[in-house]
Amino acid sequence: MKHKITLIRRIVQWAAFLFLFYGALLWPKPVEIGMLPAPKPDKSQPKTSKYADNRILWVSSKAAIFDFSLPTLTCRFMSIGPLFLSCSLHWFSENITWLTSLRIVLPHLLLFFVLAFVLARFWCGWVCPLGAMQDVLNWIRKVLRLNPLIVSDGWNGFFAKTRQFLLYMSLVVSALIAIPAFGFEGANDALFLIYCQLCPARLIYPLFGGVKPCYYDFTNSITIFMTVLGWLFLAFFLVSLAVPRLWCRICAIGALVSYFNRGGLARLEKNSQKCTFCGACRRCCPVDISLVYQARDQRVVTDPKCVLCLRCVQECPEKDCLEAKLAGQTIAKS
Amino acid sequence: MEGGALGLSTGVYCLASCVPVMLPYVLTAGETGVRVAARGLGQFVAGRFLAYAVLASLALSFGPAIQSNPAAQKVAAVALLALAALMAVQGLVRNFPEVKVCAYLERHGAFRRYPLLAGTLAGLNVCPPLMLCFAAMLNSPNPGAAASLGVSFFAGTLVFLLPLPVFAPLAKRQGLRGAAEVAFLFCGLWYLVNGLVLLTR
Repeated sequence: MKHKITLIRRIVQWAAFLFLFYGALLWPKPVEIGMLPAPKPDKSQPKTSKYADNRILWVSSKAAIFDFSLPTLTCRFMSIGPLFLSCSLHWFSENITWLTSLRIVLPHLLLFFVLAFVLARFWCGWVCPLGAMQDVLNWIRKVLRLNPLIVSDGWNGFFAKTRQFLLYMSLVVSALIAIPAFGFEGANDALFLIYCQLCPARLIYPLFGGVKPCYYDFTNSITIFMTVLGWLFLAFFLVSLAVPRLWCRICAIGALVSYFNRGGLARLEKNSQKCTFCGACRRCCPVDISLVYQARDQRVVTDPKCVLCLRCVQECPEKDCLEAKLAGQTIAKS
Repeated sequence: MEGGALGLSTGVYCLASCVPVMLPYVLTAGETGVRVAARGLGQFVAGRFLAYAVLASLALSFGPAIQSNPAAQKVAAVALLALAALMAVQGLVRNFPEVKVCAYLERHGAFRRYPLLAGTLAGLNVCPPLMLCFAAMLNSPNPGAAASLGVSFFAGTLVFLLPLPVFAPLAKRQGLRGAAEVAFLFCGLWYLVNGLVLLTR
Protein backbone atom coordinates (compact mmCIF):
# COMPACT_ATOMS: atom_id res chain seq x y z
CA MET A 1 0.00 0.00 0.00
CA LYS A 2 1.54 3.27 -1.14
CA HIS A 3 0.50 5.46 1.79
CA LYS A 4 1.18 2.93 4.52
CA ILE A 5 3.60 5.15 6.46
CA THR A 6 1.23 8.12 6.43
CA LEU A 7 -1.67 5.91 7.51
CA ILE A 8 0.29 4.55 10.47
CA ARG A 9 1.44 8.04 11.35
CA ARG A 10 -2.11 9.36 11.31
CA ILE A 11 -3.24 6.55 13.63
CA VAL A 12 -0.35 7.24 16.02
CA GLN A 13 -0.95 11.01 15.85
CA TRP A 14 -4.64 10.79 16.68
CA ALA A 15 -4.16 8.13 19.34
CA ALA A 16 -1.56 10.45 20.91
CA PHE A 17 -3.92 13.39 20.52
CA LEU A 18 -6.77 11.63 22.33
CA PHE A 19 -4.46 10.20 24.97
CA LEU A 20 -2.77 13.52 25.73
CA PHE A 21 -6.01 15.51 25.76
CA TYR A 22 -8.39 13.09 27.44
CA GLY A 23 -6.14 10.38 28.91
CA ALA A 24 -6.37 12.03 32.34
CA LEU A 25 -9.93 10.74 32.56
CA LEU A 26 -8.49 7.21 32.87
CA TRP A 27 -6.82 7.97 36.21
CA PRO A 28 -8.81 9.02 39.26
CA LYS A 29 -5.85 10.81 40.88
CA PRO A 30 -2.20 11.79 40.14
CA VAL A 31 0.26 8.91 39.90
CA GLU A 32 3.31 9.20 42.17
CA ILE A 33 6.59 8.33 40.49
CA GLY A 34 9.24 8.05 43.20
CA MET A 35 12.17 8.35 40.79
CA LEU A 36 10.99 11.78 39.63
CA PRO A 37 10.66 14.21 42.53
CA ALA A 38 8.27 17.06 41.86
CA PRO A 39 9.82 20.52 41.98
CA LYS A 40 7.73 23.08 43.81
CA PRO A 41 8.55 26.75 44.39
CA ASP A 42 9.24 27.70 48.00
CA LYS A 43 8.54 31.04 49.63
CA SER A 44 11.94 32.53 48.81
CA GLN A 45 11.57 31.99 45.07
CA PRO A 46 10.00 34.31 42.50
CA LYS A 47 6.23 33.95 42.41
CA THR A 48 3.69 34.62 39.76
CA SER A 49 0.13 35.82 39.90
CA LYS A 50 -0.36 34.53 36.39
CA TYR A 51 -1.92 31.25 37.45
CA ALA A 52 -4.71 33.14 39.19
CA ASP A 53 -8.22 32.84 37.80
CA ASN A 54 -8.62 34.49 34.41
CA ARG A 55 -4.97 35.55 34.23
CA ILE A 56 -2.99 34.76 31.14
CA LEU A 57 -1.47 31.47 32.35
CA TRP A 58 -4.61 30.16 34.01
CA VAL A 59 -6.53 27.21 32.67
CA SER A 60 -6.95 24.44 35.14
CA SER A 61 -6.13 24.07 38.78
CA LYS A 62 -5.95 20.31 38.45
CA ALA A 63 -2.65 18.55 39.12
CA ALA A 64 -1.03 16.57 36.30
CA ILE A 65 -1.56 12.81 36.44
CA PHE A 66 2.13 12.19 35.66
CA ASP A 67 4.30 14.85 37.18
CA PHE A 68 6.88 15.09 34.40
CA SER A 69 7.23 16.76 31.02
CA LEU A 70 7.55 15.39 27.50
CA PRO A 71 9.70 16.78 24.66
CA THR A 72 6.59 17.60 22.64
CA LEU A 73 3.76 20.09 22.90
CA THR A 74 1.81 18.39 25.64
CA CYS A 75 0.74 21.27 27.77
CA ARG A 76 -0.26 22.50 31.21
CA PHE A 77 -3.07 24.35 29.47
CA MET A 78 -4.88 21.18 28.49
CA SER A 79 -8.01 21.75 30.50
CA ILE A 80 -9.00 18.12 31.11
CA GLY A 81 -6.22 16.74 33.23
CA PRO A 82 -3.53 17.52 32.24
CA LEU A 83 -2.08 14.05 31.75
CA PHE A 84 1.56 15.18 31.71
CA LEU A 85 2.88 18.22 33.50
CA SER A 86 3.97 20.25 30.48
CA CYS A 87 6.29 20.38 27.49
CA SER A 88 10.01 20.24 28.24
CA LEU A 89 10.59 23.92 27.49
CA HIS A 90 7.89 24.94 29.95
CA TRP A 91 9.53 22.71 32.53
CA PHE A 92 13.03 24.07 31.90
CA SER A 93 11.82 27.69 31.97
CA GLU A 94 9.87 27.23 35.17
CA ASN A 95 12.66 25.49 37.05
CA ILE A 96 15.33 27.89 35.86
CA THR A 97 13.22 30.73 37.28
CA TRP A 98 12.56 28.85 40.50
CA LEU A 99 16.26 27.95 40.79
CA THR A 100 15.20 24.40 41.60
CA SER A 101 17.94 22.32 43.16
CA LEU A 102 19.97 20.06 40.90
CA ARG A 103 18.95 17.02 42.97
CA ILE A 104 15.37 17.50 41.80
CA VAL A 105 16.21 18.69 38.29
CA LEU A 106 18.64 15.91 37.33
CA PRO A 107 16.20 12.96 37.08
CA HIS A 108 13.87 15.07 34.91
CA LEU A 109 16.79 16.25 32.79
CA LEU A 110 17.91 12.67 32.35
CA LEU A 111 14.41 11.62 31.30
CA PHE A 112 14.31 14.47 28.77
CA PHE A 113 17.67 13.42 27.30
CA VAL A 114 16.59 9.79 27.04
CA LEU A 115 13.23 10.62 25.41
CA ALA A 116 14.77 13.12 22.99
CA PHE A 117 17.81 10.95 22.25
CA VAL A 118 15.68 7.94 21.39
CA LEU A 119 12.92 9.55 19.33
CA ALA A 120 14.36 12.98 18.38
CA ARG A 121 11.81 14.84 16.25
CA PHE A 122 9.57 11.81 15.87
CA TRP A 123 7.96 13.65 18.80
CA CYS A 124 7.08 16.47 16.40
CA GLY A 125 5.99 14.44 13.39
CA TRP A 126 4.16 11.63 15.16
CA VAL A 127 3.05 12.79 18.63
CA CYS A 128 2.68 16.59 18.84
CA PRO A 129 -1.03 17.56 18.94
CA LEU A 130 -0.27 20.97 17.45
CA GLY A 131 1.44 19.17 14.56
CA ALA A 132 -1.67 17.01 14.10
CA MET A 133 -3.82 20.16 14.02
CA GLN A 134 -1.59 21.64 11.33
CA ASP A 135 -1.96 18.45 9.32
CA VAL A 136 -5.75 18.87 9.61
CA LEU A 137 -5.44 22.45 8.34
CA ASN A 138 -3.36 21.16 5.45
CA TRP A 139 -6.00 18.51 4.72
CA ILE A 140 -8.71 21.21 4.71
CA ARG A 141 -6.63 23.17 2.18
CA LYS A 142 -6.48 20.09 -0.06
CA VAL A 143 -10.23 19.51 0.28
CA LEU A 144 -10.81 23.13 -0.72
CA ARG A 145 -8.46 22.54 -3.65
CA LEU A 146 -6.29 25.50 -2.76
CA ASN A 147 -2.68 25.57 -3.82
CA PRO A 148 -0.15 25.81 -0.98
CA LEU A 149 1.88 28.98 -0.63
CA ILE A 150 5.47 28.48 -1.67
CA VAL A 151 7.91 29.50 1.06
CA SER A 152 11.22 30.75 -0.33
CA ASP A 153 14.58 29.60 1.05
CA GLY A 154 15.06 33.10 2.46
CA TRP A 155 11.89 32.84 4.53
CA ASN A 156 12.71 29.30 5.64
CA GLY A 157 16.11 30.54 6.79
CA PHE A 158 14.38 33.33 8.68
CA PHE A 159 12.03 30.85 10.35
CA ALA A 160 14.99 28.68 11.39
CA LYS A 161 16.65 31.70 12.99
CA THR A 162 13.38 32.69 14.66
CA ARG A 163 13.00 29.34 16.41
CA GLN A 164 16.57 29.59 17.68
CA PHE A 165 15.80 33.08 18.94
CA LEU A 166 12.64 31.92 20.70
CA LEU A 167 14.48 29.06 22.36
CA TYR A 168 17.40 31.19 23.60
CA MET A 169 15.10 34.04 24.58
CA SER A 170 12.81 31.85 26.67
CA LEU A 171 15.75 30.28 28.56
CA VAL A 172 17.64 33.55 29.06
CA VAL A 173 14.57 35.48 30.20
CA SER A 174 13.65 32.65 32.58
CA ALA A 175 17.11 32.97 34.13
CA LEU A 176 17.02 36.79 34.24
CA ILE A 177 13.72 36.99 36.07
CA ALA A 178 15.14 34.73 38.77
CA ILE A 179 17.40 37.66 39.73
CA PRO A 180 15.55 39.67 42.38
CA ALA A 181 16.97 42.99 41.09
CA PHE A 182 15.22 42.35 37.77
CA GLY A 183 11.83 42.41 39.44
CA PHE A 184 11.11 46.12 38.95
CA GLU A 185 7.60 46.99 37.83
CA GLY A 186 6.59 43.36 38.22
CA ALA A 187 8.74 42.30 35.26
CA ASN A 188 9.45 38.90 36.77
CA ASP A 189 5.71 38.31 36.98
CA ALA A 190 4.94 39.65 33.52
CA LEU A 191 7.75 37.65 31.90
CA PHE A 192 7.14 34.39 33.75
CA LEU A 193 7.00 31.43 31.32
CA ILE A 194 7.53 33.82 28.44
CA TYR A 195 7.33 31.17 25.72
CA CYS A 196 4.06 29.78 27.08
CA GLN A 197 2.58 33.24 26.92
CA LEU A 198 3.36 33.36 23.20
CA CYS A 199 2.70 29.75 22.23
CA PRO A 200 -0.54 29.16 20.29
CA ALA A 201 -1.06 25.91 22.25
CA ARG A 202 -1.97 28.01 25.29
CA LEU A 203 -4.79 29.62 23.34
CA ILE A 204 -5.96 26.53 21.45
CA TYR A 205 -5.62 23.55 23.81
CA PRO A 206 -8.08 24.73 26.51
CA LEU A 207 -10.83 24.83 23.88
CA PHE A 208 -10.69 21.03 23.63
CA GLY A 209 -11.86 20.85 27.23
CA GLY A 210 -14.55 23.46 26.73
CA VAL A 211 -12.56 26.12 28.59
CA LYS A 212 -12.14 29.64 27.24
CA PRO A 213 -8.52 30.71 27.71
CA CYS A 214 -7.44 34.20 28.73
CA TYR A 215 -6.84 35.89 25.39
CA TYR A 216 -5.43 39.17 26.63
CA ASP A 217 -3.82 40.97 29.52
CA PHE A 218 -3.45 44.72 29.20
CA THR A 219 -2.09 45.35 32.71
CA ASN A 220 1.21 46.93 31.65
CA SER A 221 3.37 47.40 28.57
CA ILE A 222 5.05 43.99 28.97
CA THR A 223 1.73 42.13 29.14
CA ILE A 224 0.40 44.17 26.20
CA PHE A 225 3.50 43.17 24.22
CA MET A 226 2.99 39.52 25.17
CA THR A 227 -0.67 39.67 24.22
CA VAL A 228 0.09 41.22 20.81
CA LEU A 229 2.86 38.72 20.13
CA GLY A 230 0.61 35.86 21.24
CA TRP A 231 -2.05 36.97 18.75
CA LEU A 232 0.55 37.30 15.99
CA PHE A 233 1.79 33.78 16.69
CA LEU A 234 -1.76 32.42 16.71
CA ALA A 235 -2.35 34.07 13.32
CA PHE A 236 0.96 32.59 12.13
CA PHE A 237 -0.19 29.15 13.29
CA LEU A 238 -3.45 29.53 11.37
CA VAL A 239 -1.49 30.29 8.19
CA SER A 240 -0.71 26.56 8.31
CA LEU A 241 -3.89 26.38 6.27
CA ALA A 242 -1.84 27.74 3.36
CA VAL A 243 1.64 26.50 4.27
CA PRO A 244 2.07 22.96 5.63
CA ARG A 245 3.51 22.72 9.16
CA LEU A 246 4.26 26.43 9.32
CA TRP A 247 4.33 26.61 13.11
CA CYS A 248 6.81 23.69 13.30
CA ARG A 249 9.31 25.89 11.46
CA ILE A 250 9.51 28.37 14.33
CA CYS A 251 8.58 26.12 17.26
CA ALA A 252 11.12 26.50 20.09
CA ILE A 253 10.36 23.03 21.49
CA GLY A 254 11.15 21.68 18.04
CA ALA A 255 14.39 23.67 18.18
CA LEU A 256 15.21 22.10 21.55
CA VAL A 257 14.58 18.57 20.29
CA SER A 258 16.23 19.22 16.93
CA TYR A 259 19.67 18.97 18.56
CA PHE A 260 18.92 15.24 18.83
CA ASN A 261 18.11 14.86 15.13
CA ARG A 262 21.85 14.60 14.67
CA GLY A 263 23.52 12.27 17.13
CA GLY A 264 20.30 10.69 18.40
CA LEU A 265 19.05 7.18 17.70
CA ALA A 266 16.62 8.25 14.98
CA ARG A 267 18.10 8.89 11.58
CA LEU A 268 17.30 9.11 7.92
CA GLU A 269 19.78 7.48 5.55
CA LYS A 270 20.19 7.86 1.82
CA ASN A 271 21.91 5.57 -0.65
CA SER A 272 23.08 8.06 -3.26
CA GLN A 273 23.96 5.26 -5.69
CA LYS A 274 20.28 4.44 -6.03
CA CYS A 275 19.01 8.02 -6.14
CA THR A 276 17.87 9.32 -9.54
CA PHE A 277 17.38 12.86 -8.18
CA CYS A 278 13.76 12.89 -9.30
CA GLY A 279 12.95 15.43 -6.56
CA ALA A 280 9.97 13.51 -5.11
CA CYS A 281 11.43 13.80 -1.59
CA ARG A 282 11.78 17.55 -1.92
CA ARG A 283 8.27 18.08 -3.28
CA CYS A 284 6.52 16.06 -0.59
CA CYS A 285 8.43 17.46 2.39
CA PRO A 286 6.03 19.43 4.61
CA VAL A 287 8.83 21.63 5.97
CA ASP A 288 10.64 22.23 2.64
CA ILE A 289 13.88 20.42 3.43
CA SER A 290 16.17 20.05 0.45
CA LEU A 291 19.05 18.19 2.15
CA VAL A 292 17.60 14.75 1.37
CA TYR A 293 17.35 15.64 -2.31
CA GLN A 294 20.68 17.46 -2.58
CA ALA A 295 22.91 15.01 -0.68
CA ARG A 296 25.38 13.32 -3.02
CA ASP A 297 27.90 11.47 -0.89
CA GLN A 298 26.27 11.95 2.48
CA ARG A 299 24.72 8.82 3.98
CA VAL A 300 22.93 10.37 7.00
CA VAL A 301 20.51 13.04 5.78
CA THR A 302 18.63 13.92 8.97
CA ASP A 303 18.19 17.68 8.90
CA PRO A 304 17.63 19.46 12.25
CA LYS A 305 14.46 20.96 10.73
CA CYS A 306 13.10 17.51 9.77
CA VAL A 307 10.02 16.43 11.76
CA LEU A 308 10.65 12.79 10.76
CA CYS A 309 7.22 12.32 9.21
CA LEU A 310 8.92 9.92 6.75
CA ARG A 311 6.88 11.13 3.80
CA CYS A 312 10.08 11.29 1.74
CA VAL A 313 10.68 7.61 2.46
CA GLN A 314 7.12 6.85 1.44
CA GLU A 315 7.21 8.89 -1.76
CA CYS A 316 10.68 7.87 -2.95
CA PRO A 317 10.20 5.72 -6.08
CA GLU A 318 13.64 4.11 -5.88
CA LYS A 319 13.83 0.85 -3.93
CA ASP A 320 16.08 0.99 -0.85
CA CYS A 321 17.23 4.52 -1.64
CA LEU A 322 15.89 6.09 1.56
CA GLU A 323 15.78 4.37 4.93
CA ALA A 324 14.54 5.50 8.35
CA LYS A 325 16.41 3.88 11.21
CA LEU A 326 15.88 3.76 14.94
CA ALA A 327 18.79 2.54 17.03
CA GLY A 328 20.35 1.08 13.90
CA GLN A 329 17.25 -0.91 12.98
CA THR A 330 15.43 -0.09 9.76
CA ILE A 331 11.85 0.91 10.54
CA ALA A 332 10.87 2.08 7.04
CA LYS A 333 12.45 2.14 3.62
CA SER A 334 11.54 3.20 0.13
CA MET B 1 29.86 60.33 44.52
CA GLU B 2 26.09 60.70 45.04
CA GLY B 3 25.45 60.53 41.30
CA GLY B 4 27.68 57.48 40.85
CA ALA B 5 25.93 55.64 43.68
CA LEU B 6 22.55 56.56 42.20
CA GLY B 7 23.65 55.30 38.78
CA LEU B 8 24.96 52.06 40.20
CA SER B 9 21.84 51.41 42.25
CA THR B 10 19.41 52.05 39.40
CA GLY B 11 21.58 50.78 36.54
CA VAL B 12 19.65 47.51 36.21
CA TYR B 13 16.86 49.62 34.76
CA CYS B 14 19.26 50.93 32.08
CA LEU B 15 20.39 47.37 31.48
CA ALA B 16 16.82 46.26 30.80
CA SER B 17 16.05 49.19 28.50
CA CYS B 18 19.36 49.36 26.58
CA VAL B 19 20.42 45.72 26.27
CA PRO B 20 17.58 44.85 23.82
CA VAL B 21 18.95 47.63 21.58
CA MET B 22 22.64 46.81 21.82
CA LEU B 23 22.96 43.06 22.38
CA PRO B 24 21.59 42.13 18.91
CA TYR B 25 24.04 44.65 17.44
CA VAL B 26 26.98 43.26 19.40
CA LEU B 27 26.09 39.70 18.43
CA THR B 28 25.79 40.51 14.75
CA ALA B 29 28.54 43.11 14.31
CA GLY B 30 30.87 41.31 16.66
CA GLU B 31 31.82 38.67 14.11
CA THR B 32 34.77 40.84 13.17
CA GLY B 33 35.92 41.05 16.77
CA VAL B 34 35.43 42.60 20.15
CA ARG B 35 36.92 45.90 18.94
CA VAL B 36 34.10 46.56 16.46
CA ALA B 37 31.51 45.79 19.13
CA ALA B 38 33.32 48.05 21.60
CA ARG B 39 33.39 50.86 19.03
CA GLY B 40 29.64 50.38 18.50
CA LEU B 41 29.05 50.52 22.23
CA GLY B 42 31.12 53.71 22.38
CA GLN B 43 28.84 55.29 19.75
CA PHE B 44 25.76 54.07 21.59
CA VAL B 45 27.01 55.57 24.87
CA ALA B 46 27.82 58.84 23.11
CA GLY B 47 24.28 58.98 21.69
CA ARG B 48 22.81 58.25 25.07
CA PHE B 49 24.96 60.92 26.69
CA LEU B 50 23.80 63.43 24.08
CA ALA B 51 20.15 62.63 24.79
CA TYR B 52 20.67 62.80 28.55
CA ALA B 53 22.42 66.16 28.20
CA VAL B 54 19.45 67.53 26.25
CA LEU B 55 16.97 66.16 28.82
CA ALA B 56 19.07 67.44 31.74
CA SER B 57 19.18 70.95 30.31
CA LEU B 58 15.38 70.83 29.79
CA ALA B 59 14.86 69.57 33.33
CA LEU B 60 17.14 72.28 34.76
CA SER B 61 15.30 74.93 32.74
CA PHE B 62 11.70 73.81 33.26
CA GLY B 63 11.88 71.80 36.47
CA PRO B 64 12.01 68.05 37.17
CA ALA B 65 8.36 67.54 36.27
CA ILE B 66 9.15 67.04 32.58
CA GLN B 67 8.28 63.37 32.88
CA SER B 68 4.65 64.22 33.54
CA ASN B 69 4.62 66.94 30.91
CA PRO B 70 2.40 65.70 28.03
CA ALA B 71 4.68 67.23 25.39
CA ALA B 72 7.72 65.46 26.87
CA GLN B 73 5.77 62.20 26.91
CA LYS B 74 4.91 62.64 23.25
CA VAL B 75 8.58 63.26 22.43
CA ALA B 76 9.58 60.12 24.35
CA ALA B 77 6.85 58.13 22.55
CA VAL B 78 7.99 59.37 19.13
CA ALA B 79 11.60 58.54 20.05
CA LEU B 80 10.53 54.99 20.95
CA LEU B 81 8.60 54.64 17.69
CA ALA B 82 11.63 55.91 15.75
CA LEU B 83 13.81 53.42 17.64
CA ALA B 84 11.34 50.65 16.75
CA ALA B 85 11.50 51.66 13.08
CA LEU B 86 15.32 51.78 13.19
CA MET B 87 15.51 48.31 14.71
CA ALA B 88 12.91 46.92 12.31
CA VAL B 89 14.84 48.20 9.30
CA GLN B 90 18.11 46.90 10.76
CA GLY B 91 16.44 43.51 11.30
CA LEU B 92 15.00 43.40 7.78
CA VAL B 93 18.33 44.32 6.20
CA ARG B 94 20.13 41.61 8.13
CA ASN B 95 17.49 38.91 7.65
CA PHE B 96 16.58 39.53 4.03
CA PRO B 97 19.77 40.79 2.34
CA GLU B 98 18.54 39.38 -0.98
CA VAL B 99 15.61 41.83 -1.13
CA LYS B 100 16.56 44.76 -3.40
CA VAL B 101 15.78 47.57 -0.95
CA CYS B 102 17.65 45.79 1.85
CA ALA B 103 20.63 45.14 -0.42
CA TYR B 104 20.64 48.83 -1.43
CA LEU B 105 20.55 49.99 2.18
CA GLU B 106 23.32 47.60 3.18
CA ARG B 107 25.50 48.59 0.22
CA HIS B 108 25.21 52.26 1.06
CA GLY B 109 26.01 51.72 4.73
CA ALA B 110 22.88 53.54 5.80
CA PHE B 111 23.10 51.90 9.20
CA ARG B 112 26.74 52.46 9.96
CA ARG B 113 25.58 54.95 12.57
CA TYR B 114 22.97 52.62 14.06
CA PRO B 115 24.52 52.61 17.57
CA LEU B 116 24.73 56.41 17.73
CA LEU B 117 21.15 56.87 16.52
CA ALA B 118 19.82 54.07 18.70
CA GLY B 119 21.64 55.44 21.74
CA THR B 120 20.16 58.90 21.21
CA LEU B 121 16.63 57.59 20.70
CA ALA B 122 16.84 55.18 23.66
CA GLY B 123 18.24 57.97 25.83
CA LEU B 124 15.36 60.33 25.09
CA ASN B 125 13.11 58.20 27.27
CA VAL B 126 12.76 59.81 30.69
CA CYS B 127 12.96 56.80 32.99
CA PRO B 128 12.45 56.90 36.80
CA PRO B 129 16.23 56.70 37.61
CA LEU B 130 16.81 59.69 35.34
CA MET B 131 14.10 61.63 37.17
CA LEU B 132 15.82 60.88 40.47
CA CYS B 133 19.05 62.17 39.00
CA PHE B 134 17.39 65.37 37.73
CA ALA B 135 15.82 65.97 41.14
CA ALA B 136 19.24 65.58 42.78
CA MET B 137 20.80 67.88 40.17
CA LEU B 138 18.23 70.59 40.94
CA ASN B 139 19.17 70.42 44.60
CA SER B 140 22.85 70.92 43.79
CA PRO B 141 24.38 74.19 45.07
CA ASN B 142 25.75 75.31 41.69
CA PRO B 143 25.65 74.33 37.97
CA GLY B 144 29.14 72.80 38.18
CA ALA B 145 28.10 70.46 40.99
CA ALA B 146 24.90 69.58 39.08
CA ALA B 147 26.87 68.74 35.95
CA SER B 148 29.34 66.63 37.89
CA LEU B 149 26.46 64.78 39.55
CA GLY B 150 24.87 64.12 36.14
CA VAL B 151 28.13 62.85 34.65
CA SER B 152 28.85 60.59 37.62
CA PHE B 153 25.26 59.22 37.43
CA PHE B 154 25.83 58.47 33.76
CA ALA B 155 29.16 56.78 34.55
CA GLY B 156 27.45 54.69 37.25
CA THR B 157 24.84 53.39 34.82
CA LEU B 158 27.57 52.61 32.27
CA VAL B 159 29.04 49.91 34.49
CA PHE B 160 26.14 47.68 33.48
CA LEU B 161 26.62 48.20 29.75
CA LEU B 162 30.42 47.97 29.54
CA PRO B 163 30.59 44.13 29.60
CA LEU B 164 28.44 43.88 26.43
CA PRO B 165 31.34 43.63 23.90
CA VAL B 166 32.59 40.58 25.79
CA PHE B 167 29.68 38.70 24.20
CA ALA B 168 30.88 39.58 20.67
CA PRO B 169 32.88 36.35 20.12
CA LEU B 170 29.62 34.42 20.56
CA ALA B 171 28.69 35.78 17.13
CA LYS B 172 30.97 33.13 15.64
CA ARG B 173 28.25 30.61 16.49
CA GLN B 174 25.93 30.77 13.52
CA GLY B 175 22.82 29.81 15.49
CA LEU B 176 23.37 32.60 17.98
CA ARG B 177 24.14 35.17 15.29
CA GLY B 178 20.97 34.22 13.43
CA ALA B 179 18.95 34.52 16.64
CA ALA B 180 20.43 37.99 17.20
CA GLU B 181 19.42 39.03 13.67
CA VAL B 182 15.85 38.04 14.44
CA ALA B 183 16.07 39.73 17.85
CA PHE B 184 16.23 43.11 16.07
CA LEU B 185 12.67 42.56 14.83
CA PHE B 186 11.25 41.33 18.13
CA CYS B 187 12.94 44.07 20.13
CA GLY B 188 11.71 46.58 17.55
CA LEU B 189 8.18 45.31 18.14
CA TRP B 190 8.74 45.69 21.89
CA TYR B 191 9.67 49.37 21.47
CA LEU B 192 6.77 49.86 19.06
CA VAL B 193 4.29 48.61 21.65
CA ASN B 194 5.95 50.74 24.33
CA GLY B 195 5.86 53.82 22.11
CA LEU B 196 2.19 53.29 21.24
CA VAL B 197 1.28 52.74 24.92
CA LEU B 198 3.06 55.97 25.84
CA LEU B 199 1.47 57.85 22.95
CA THR B 200 -2.06 56.80 23.83
CA ARG B 201 -1.71 57.13 27.61
